[in-house]
Amino acid sequence: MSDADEKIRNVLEEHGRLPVPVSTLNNGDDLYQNGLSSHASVNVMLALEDEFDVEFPDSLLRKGTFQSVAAIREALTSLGVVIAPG
Amino acid sequence: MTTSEHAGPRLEQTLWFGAEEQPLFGWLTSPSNALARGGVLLAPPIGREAFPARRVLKSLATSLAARGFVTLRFDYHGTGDSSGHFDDPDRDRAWVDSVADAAAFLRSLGLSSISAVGMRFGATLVGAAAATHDLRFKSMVLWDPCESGRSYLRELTALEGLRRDDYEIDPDGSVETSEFVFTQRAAVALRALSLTDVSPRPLAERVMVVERGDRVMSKKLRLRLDREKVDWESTFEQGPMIDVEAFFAVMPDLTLNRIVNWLGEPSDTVEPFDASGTMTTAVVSRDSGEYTVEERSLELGPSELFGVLSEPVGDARGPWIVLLNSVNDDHVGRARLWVELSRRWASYGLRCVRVDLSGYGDSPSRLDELARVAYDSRWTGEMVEVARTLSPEDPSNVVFIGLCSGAYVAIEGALAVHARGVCAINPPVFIDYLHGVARLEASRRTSVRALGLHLKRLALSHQWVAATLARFSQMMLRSAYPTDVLSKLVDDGTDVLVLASFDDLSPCPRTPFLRSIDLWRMGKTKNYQIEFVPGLDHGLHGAKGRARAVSLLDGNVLERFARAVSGTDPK
Repeated sequence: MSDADEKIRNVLEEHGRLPVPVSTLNNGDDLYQNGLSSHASVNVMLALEDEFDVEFPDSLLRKGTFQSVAAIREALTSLGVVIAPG
Repeated sequence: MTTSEHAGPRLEQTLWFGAEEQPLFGWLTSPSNALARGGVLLAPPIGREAFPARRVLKSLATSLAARGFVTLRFDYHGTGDSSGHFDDPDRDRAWVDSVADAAAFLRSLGLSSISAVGMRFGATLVGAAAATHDLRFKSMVLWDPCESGRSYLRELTALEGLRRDDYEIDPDGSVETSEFVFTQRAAVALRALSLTDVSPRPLAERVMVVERGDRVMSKKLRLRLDREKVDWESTFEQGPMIDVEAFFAVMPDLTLNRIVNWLGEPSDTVEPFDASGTMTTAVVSRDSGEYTVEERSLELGPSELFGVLSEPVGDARGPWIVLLNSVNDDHVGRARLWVELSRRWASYGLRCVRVDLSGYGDSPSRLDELARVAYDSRWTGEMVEVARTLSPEDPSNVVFIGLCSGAYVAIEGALAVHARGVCAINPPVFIDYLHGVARLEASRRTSVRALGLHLKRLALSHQWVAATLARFSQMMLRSAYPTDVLSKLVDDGTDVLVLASFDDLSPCPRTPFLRSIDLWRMGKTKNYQIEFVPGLDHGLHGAKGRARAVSLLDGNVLERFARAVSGTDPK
């Protein structure tokens, strides 16, 4: 697992209010189906911005951006965050 | 009229303050002995977040009064019950000035020590007010503060984008949120407000910041606040309180205790204050219709329900228009519609009262459990009280208006007093079922009452099953259920308007043929109008559907109850 993936998972664990441990989820698993609410998504967004020092543009403020660990990873990459392969 | 007004010195009173041409509405909660340790203004959040916060700030006001503080909870200009419109120009200046006006009002009572509590964007406004006005706050609580108007609107935009598949961000910069729309002009003004840009002067002698344990505070805001003499507190109670519909909001007891204790720490000195000269009536609208509109608060009937009366300055006409608040509504109505509509209709001569049912808004709770009930048959009795209080000689001279559970109460109330009219927006599909269950709940036998309660809970989770059961009962038990509730109203001669989303009155809203059967089933007569409103959702959250419904409601009320009496076309 890459350092970035670990950071993403930590953010989800602390701010996602998921009813299941994030460690039990695969990178492609649907976070909404696993209990991520829209309000918690906002918390996750703010925490990711703080963690990676980025700001999600309006175009990324949609459900698909936070659908899975992999989707978050992809969004961060599109914002210029360098993520080493895991 | 036998209503009793909130007036004179008492533990809790409503009042108007601020500039005469832009009066602000507030609640003053005071120690009963006319001596206080200081004044505290409570600045609420903006928009939908203000609804769950109302009950919390009311509780805070009561606790602080018990500790010897005079508190003022208030609505910013163009929000809540204050004058003005949400989309008026200069929202940044108007809302910051509202905070300054609240501080000035507390000082006018003779209080020299003034503190402030601001929640969410209310915290941002309190900080901005402290920077731009000489407010000399003793203590300041920033409760889950928004760093800036920009960050606040961004959070709202993200929330809408993350929960609605059809949400599109408007390129012009305006922000449509659940219920409230920030115009491009308002959004530009609010984005300029920031807690991090405020002047280097201290916000207050001491500051408490309540941050969410489940949300990151920006580095920039933390850096700015670290320049103050800050006590930091973390809470996990904010989400369950403010991230949910008002009905499900959980009281943040621990956080409230911490704030009350912190505010109560520094001073034991008391000073006299005088709240006897406060303004209890205000002119709130001069800009539409034929009349200037005045408002004052009321206590209605033996249950002392809280209401706000909008009435024309001049000869009133037509029936009383009663707008109901229940469950998820505030007495300002969804998206503040009850305020806007009651002032508009009063400007055409109608007397309008927005009423909180017991257990909600600012009405008292007769019974503890009432506060968390979505449908209570006892509310029908309250509607009878309201009608008799407003119009003792002819209680039928009322028109009840409600949304969802409020629509159900409006219908039952109209049946009970043979009301002139009822406007029901998205009434529950199982109203006939509820009507039948209410008879069980009124039984003297405990077992029958328990059955009624159980059946009601069943309806909340299986609404179309309940609707079908009611229809089946009407067919099979004609002596017990001779007709449906709406038909009864029509037979009574009550004018009935039902506005419904496609999802609310038909189990098959996406199938035009089946939907047409429902329209036929509901029928239409001279005094019965039912409209399926395209784009309308159950809670009136979406702006377009809401605007269509409001247009129909407005036209109906003015046509049937204002024009019919005045003989003139109000449009």
